[in-house]
Amino acid sequence: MLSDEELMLVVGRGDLDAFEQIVLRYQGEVWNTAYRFLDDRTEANDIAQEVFVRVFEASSRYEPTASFRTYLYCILNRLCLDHVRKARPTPIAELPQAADPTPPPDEASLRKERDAAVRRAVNTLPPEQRMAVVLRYFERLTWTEIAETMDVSPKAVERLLSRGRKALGKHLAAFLGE
Amino acid sequence: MKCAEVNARLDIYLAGELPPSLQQEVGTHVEGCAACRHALDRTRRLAALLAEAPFLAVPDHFAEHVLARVRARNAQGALTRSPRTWWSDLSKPMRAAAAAAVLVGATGGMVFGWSAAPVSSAQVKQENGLFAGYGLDTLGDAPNGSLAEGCLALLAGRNGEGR
Repeated sequence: MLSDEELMLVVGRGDLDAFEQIVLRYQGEVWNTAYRFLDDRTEANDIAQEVFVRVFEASSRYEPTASFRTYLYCILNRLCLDHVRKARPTPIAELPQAADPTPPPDEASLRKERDAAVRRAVNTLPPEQRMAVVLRYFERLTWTEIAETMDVSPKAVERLLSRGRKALGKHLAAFLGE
Repeated sequence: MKCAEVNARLDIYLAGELPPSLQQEVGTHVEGCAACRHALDRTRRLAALLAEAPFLAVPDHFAEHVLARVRARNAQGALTRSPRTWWSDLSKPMRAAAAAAVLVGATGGMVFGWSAAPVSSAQVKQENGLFAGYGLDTLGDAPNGSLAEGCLALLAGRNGEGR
């Protein structure tokens, strides 16, 4: 099986079969990251598709100086942040009334309520904090990968994660057993 | 290490991604500080909560839609992609060297052309037999300042001076 970088060299010559392989390999990660960041399926679909189109457009100039995955997330990060900056103002840091964490009748309902609360909480974060949190806690990128993806210093990532964590902790206190 | 510094690094400490010495320093501080131990525990619980969020299925036919989008843009000429060429396969130093060589060649050619003494096509024909040699009979008398005159002047200069 060809590596991502080897596949990209083939894509660079206009090979759509190779490009499809890239899409199939990463569609899950890209789509989920876009959705967690944007909290809207239609927008996530549009952005995720555009990420891959941009990859194809740039494929003839692609040079494997960093891992392809980081390169892909870099494009995704840029498109997501550009999208929210154009589409809507920064979300207010206040949540509507917190959900009652008293255990509902069944496990499935509890899980649904918890997932909804997490989504709402993440959605209140300013864009850069939100992206750092999504990349770290949902996509499991390392600290240095996040720095490369977001084109910021590792120290900046530290700050974004720390602030994001504190804000999430406040909004999700009921689910943290506090 | 101060509590504020430790607290700022808890996400990365939890993943074991701090440089080894810093990882140890944070660990040592946490062992001896109840407040930071509590903060670390809270970070751990938050990470676990977020990790439980489901990984959602990609919409059906996502890859097909991407390919269709690429083909549509290609057909509209909206894709700015250029095919991979020998130029893009060169390393940056090689590209710089190639560009410099072209520039030197072009500059040298221009300087040489300008410095060649202008001659009439008749003179060229008479003195050097270039027309016969280079098959330029069809050019005839070139107007003053024309490209043909310049070309002939270049050839005459080269051969006239034995270069």
